[in-house]
Amino acid sequence: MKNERKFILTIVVVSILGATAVLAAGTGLPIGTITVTPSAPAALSTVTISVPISGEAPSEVRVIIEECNGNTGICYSDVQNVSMPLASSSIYRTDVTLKHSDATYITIKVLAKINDVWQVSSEKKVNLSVTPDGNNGDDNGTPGFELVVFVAAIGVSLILIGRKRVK
Amino acid sequence: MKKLRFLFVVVLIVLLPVFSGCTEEKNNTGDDFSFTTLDNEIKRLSDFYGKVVVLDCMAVNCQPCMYQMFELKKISENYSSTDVAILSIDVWVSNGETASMLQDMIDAFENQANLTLDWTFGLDDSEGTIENMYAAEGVPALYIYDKKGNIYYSHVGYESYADLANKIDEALIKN
Repeated sequence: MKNERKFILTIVVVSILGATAVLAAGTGLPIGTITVTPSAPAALSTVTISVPISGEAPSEVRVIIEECNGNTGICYSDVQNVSMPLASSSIYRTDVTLKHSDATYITIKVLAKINDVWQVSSEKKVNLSVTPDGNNGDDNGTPGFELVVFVAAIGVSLILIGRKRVK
Repeated sequence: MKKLRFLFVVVLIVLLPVFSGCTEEKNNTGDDFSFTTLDNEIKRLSDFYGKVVVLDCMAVNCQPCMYQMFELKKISENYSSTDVAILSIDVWVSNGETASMLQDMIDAFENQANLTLDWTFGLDDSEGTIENMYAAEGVPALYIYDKKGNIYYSHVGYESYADLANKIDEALIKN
């Protein structure tokens, strides 16, 4: 029952996001399908994003990458907004390194400035593959190295006190 | 010898928080802030003092934030607007989100899900003042303020209606 509700909610949310993206993008978009290599990248890895843009050459192309964690229901605020240079005939490409070890999916949007108007692609969602070690060294709020130093300091102090006592 | 031991224990107690990796929780001050509503009005958090406030720092391009709308709708349905005010503020203006995108999202909920999001919606400024204060990590970032404007509860990431309602009930009793 819970899964059924979640499934229905997912369909509704995806259609709302889709409707919002279409409204934002307008019709007759020159921006083609976004391709991500590898197709299921790992967290913290570098992905190559490419997109074909037809018609008039844009003066600027940018890609926006959001990293989200579907388990905790959070999308990280440090969204990457990266320039996409022309790689070959009408294909724009860039490499982006993902930042969050616990991200489970990314969303990608391409913006192209054509005749001084920003055109927006529809959003592409890419699920990330699970890595065996998701720790990227970020402070996760739990004691780590500091605790080891603290315990070691207590140990050394106890030994010193013990020695003094024996004397 | 006893003096040395006593000194050692005192030093340990003083240094314990430093070495245990404990960090002070941020954003617990309940500082006032202003935002722009979809009617282009400037509102402040302090305008809502006297009510328990649920602040939802959200973004249009954030799937969990869309799920959060369903939970906030239940709050809107189950609590009187004289007791509880909900503020959903798009804090990704610095990432290019606009008032029309936010309005499109509200309309999409109405049209696609038959859900009227009947609470206050607004936008952060282009410098991301509210984002930096309250949603630096990510969105949705949820805060519950007591009637005096102090932060009673905060959570980053999607939160269910049941969990939010528990905290709202506590905040309502508190005042």
